Amino acid sequence: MNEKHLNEDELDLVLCGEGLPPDRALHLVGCHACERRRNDFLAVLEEARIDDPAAAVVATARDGALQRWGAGVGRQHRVRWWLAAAAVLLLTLLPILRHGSSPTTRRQEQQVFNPDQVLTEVDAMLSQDPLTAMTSEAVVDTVVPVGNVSWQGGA
Amino acid sequence: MIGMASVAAREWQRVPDEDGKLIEAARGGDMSAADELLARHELVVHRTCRHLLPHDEDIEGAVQEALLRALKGLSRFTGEGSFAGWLATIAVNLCRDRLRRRRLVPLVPLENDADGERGGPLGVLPAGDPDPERAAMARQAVLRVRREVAELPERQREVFTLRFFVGMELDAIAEALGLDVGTVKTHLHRAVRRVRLAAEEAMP
Repeated sequence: MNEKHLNEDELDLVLCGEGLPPDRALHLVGCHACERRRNDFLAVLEEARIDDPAAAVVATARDGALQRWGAGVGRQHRVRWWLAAAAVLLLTLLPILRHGSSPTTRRQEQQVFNPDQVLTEVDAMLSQDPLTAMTSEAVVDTVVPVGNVSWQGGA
Repeated sequence: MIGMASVAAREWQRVPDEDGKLIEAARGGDMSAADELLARHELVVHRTCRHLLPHDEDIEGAVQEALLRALKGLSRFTGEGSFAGWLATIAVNLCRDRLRRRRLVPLVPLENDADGERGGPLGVLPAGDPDPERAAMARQAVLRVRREVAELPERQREVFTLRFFVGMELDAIAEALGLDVGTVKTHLHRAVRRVRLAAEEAMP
């Protein structure tokens, strides 16, 4: 065994949990004085350490934290639920608010109002004299003489 | 080795599978999972707060606040380090906040409370050695150590506390304090030297 005792740095290395060179580690194993010096310090540290709190104190702190956290989580869930509900409602109402009617009504209106058919009917009507289509030719001639009728329909 | 085994060697491995499952469940709002998760690791927070905060601070309130911060911040836990180390980070930061708010140099309790809880430092003596002189020296040594730790610079005190009073490994301390392991060793060496010399002076 190396008879030279651990110096201050070596002792601190051991206390910090770091390794010693093999010959110095061997010395520590066999040297009562060095071992006692290390153990005395660790014993003082152990005494200086404040005891862990009682189980009831530990549980109280944990329960308090959990309750406060749980309240926050519940509030978050409620807020998320309301936001989701509001989003769905908004998506439903948005088309109505923009167009003044529901999409179903608009589709029905589109089905009833056929623009091609209307245009065909208008063309047919215009191809005739609109006034004669509405009343007898004698009445028309009386009210609007033939010479006064322009192609635009004005008198 | 006296002391070291009971003080230091504790759970500092990476997040075990069970912790991972509990963390996932707790993130989803599962109260029982959160309860179990905290129950596994909460002593880290208690020890850190009890050693870093002055005795007249509301320690249990600080612990509760730290646990709440952890629960609220679960989504930020990456799982790369140990959950206990992450809790230690939160506890240390909370203690710093409180100490800065008080604008005080923290003083670890001396004669008043801790000795009362533990029944004094007579445990330093080997069993069956009722030598009153040695008992008195042991008591002085413990008081000197507490005072010396309280007066260490902030970083050294944090490293020393996490190592010897909370029981963390060097790499876990480095992670918790955001330092590299070499820096942790430097702080720890300086702190150990200063505290050890104080203890040896009191108990030659």
